[in-house]
Amino acid sequence: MTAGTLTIRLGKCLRCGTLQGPDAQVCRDCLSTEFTDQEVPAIGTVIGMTVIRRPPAGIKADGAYGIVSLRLDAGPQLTGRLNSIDETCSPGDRVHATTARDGILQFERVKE
Amino acid sequence: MRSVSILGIGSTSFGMHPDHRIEQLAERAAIDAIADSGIERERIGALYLGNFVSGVLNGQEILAGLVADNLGLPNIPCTKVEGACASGGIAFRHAYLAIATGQCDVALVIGAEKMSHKSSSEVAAALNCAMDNATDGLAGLTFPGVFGMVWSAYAHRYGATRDDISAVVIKNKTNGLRNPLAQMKKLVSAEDILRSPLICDPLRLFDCCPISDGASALVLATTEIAKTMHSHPRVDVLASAQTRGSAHLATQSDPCSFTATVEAARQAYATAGITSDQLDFVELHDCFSIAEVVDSEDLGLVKRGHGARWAAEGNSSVSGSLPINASGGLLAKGHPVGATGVSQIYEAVLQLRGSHANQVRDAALGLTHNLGGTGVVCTVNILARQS
Repeated sequence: MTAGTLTIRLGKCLRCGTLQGPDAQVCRDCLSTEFTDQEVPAIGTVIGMTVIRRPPAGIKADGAYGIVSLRLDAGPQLTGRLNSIDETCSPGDRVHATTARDGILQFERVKE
Repeated sequence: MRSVSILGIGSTSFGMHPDHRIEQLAERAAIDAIADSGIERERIGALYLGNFVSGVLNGQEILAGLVADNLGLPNIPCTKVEGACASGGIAFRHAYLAIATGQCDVALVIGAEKMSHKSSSEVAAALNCAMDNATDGLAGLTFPGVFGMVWSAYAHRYGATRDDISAVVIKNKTNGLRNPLAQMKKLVSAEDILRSPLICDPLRLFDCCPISDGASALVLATTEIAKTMHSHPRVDVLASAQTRGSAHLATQSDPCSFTATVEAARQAYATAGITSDQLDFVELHDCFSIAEVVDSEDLGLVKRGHGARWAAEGNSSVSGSLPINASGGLLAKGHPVGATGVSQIYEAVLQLRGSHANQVRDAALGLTHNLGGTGVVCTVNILARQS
């Protein structure tokens, strides 16, 4: 596992074995509600990235922040924040979560 | 299913209406639509009203019944529907279905929103109610952010340039100059766009639709009734489709496409018995400049990855091979979110009647497209002029 990568808990469907996103109550593939926890590394590949320059009211942010959607190596897709604004981060880049703040995973590019 | 026609249209201007409450905007549009239809209000058998955030921004719900009461309509079923920015499109489809299935012979459709009295951060927070706030919203995603991500993925895959996507903005702002109802009455250049502030990279201010107030309304009736009315060229509804897509980014199968649009378009073309190359014009959901590019591909108007260049070559201008958003679209006409789906049909009917300010030559067959949330809901309608 890449050094410094957090692990996150996903739900593995007991009926069909599909991994679902965090907090899933039902398996989208077979409608089972029976899960077992599976810990996976929070590492994956960027699908899309942007910098939110004007946060809406109620969002916990200190000014602008970067945000990414990514596909975890384990399968499911996630949305998280970038640890710091990285305007060069782009689709296809490898990122991993190294910390979490207020329940939000904070990602950064994997160092080669 | 019975055939359905559009008898009457009405709309307020889009922009800032500080002196009117949301229900007053809705009533104004409805009065115009009823007058335009030539139908007595006593014949209206149902009202469907599209609205998204009136509860949050105006503290006013029960809009459908409130407006109907103020208009003195009969004791008919009055229903408000919500589907984020596609609320108006959903309202139209419900009215269409009510008539097509024989529940009533005449129906009133209204879309209304009032937003401009709130700050942009308050409006953004209200619009974020249409996000999955346990996942995307929690992470701080916003709707401009969704389309910033779409742009990043699209540019990475297809290599679209800033200039190509700016061409969409310039076209729609130019179209808006001639639309008497449009909010944005200023021509912008590529340099103006580049100088405007970043909102969600790479989206800049002029890539984004404005915050708007406004309302639009339509009177629908059976085609049998429409045949007895002769004040306008008849406009028939050939198809009205509604579909579901992804409610969160995590279930999007392709970051450069909205599956709800692809499926709604497929259903609408099949029901109408047409192909996309038969269309004379399109009004689509350009909430952001990149959205028009992706929508035009999802609707099958242009090949995947070619939408930006195709627009930059002028194909979607009013005199192009397939005019898109001759109204100015959401980028220039404005986007009072619950009104937009109805407003698009208002603009399409003007085109089909031959009386639009940006009239498309020989317009006989048009498509409207309304998208909500992270692409979780879409409506596509195909409308035709009958001689």
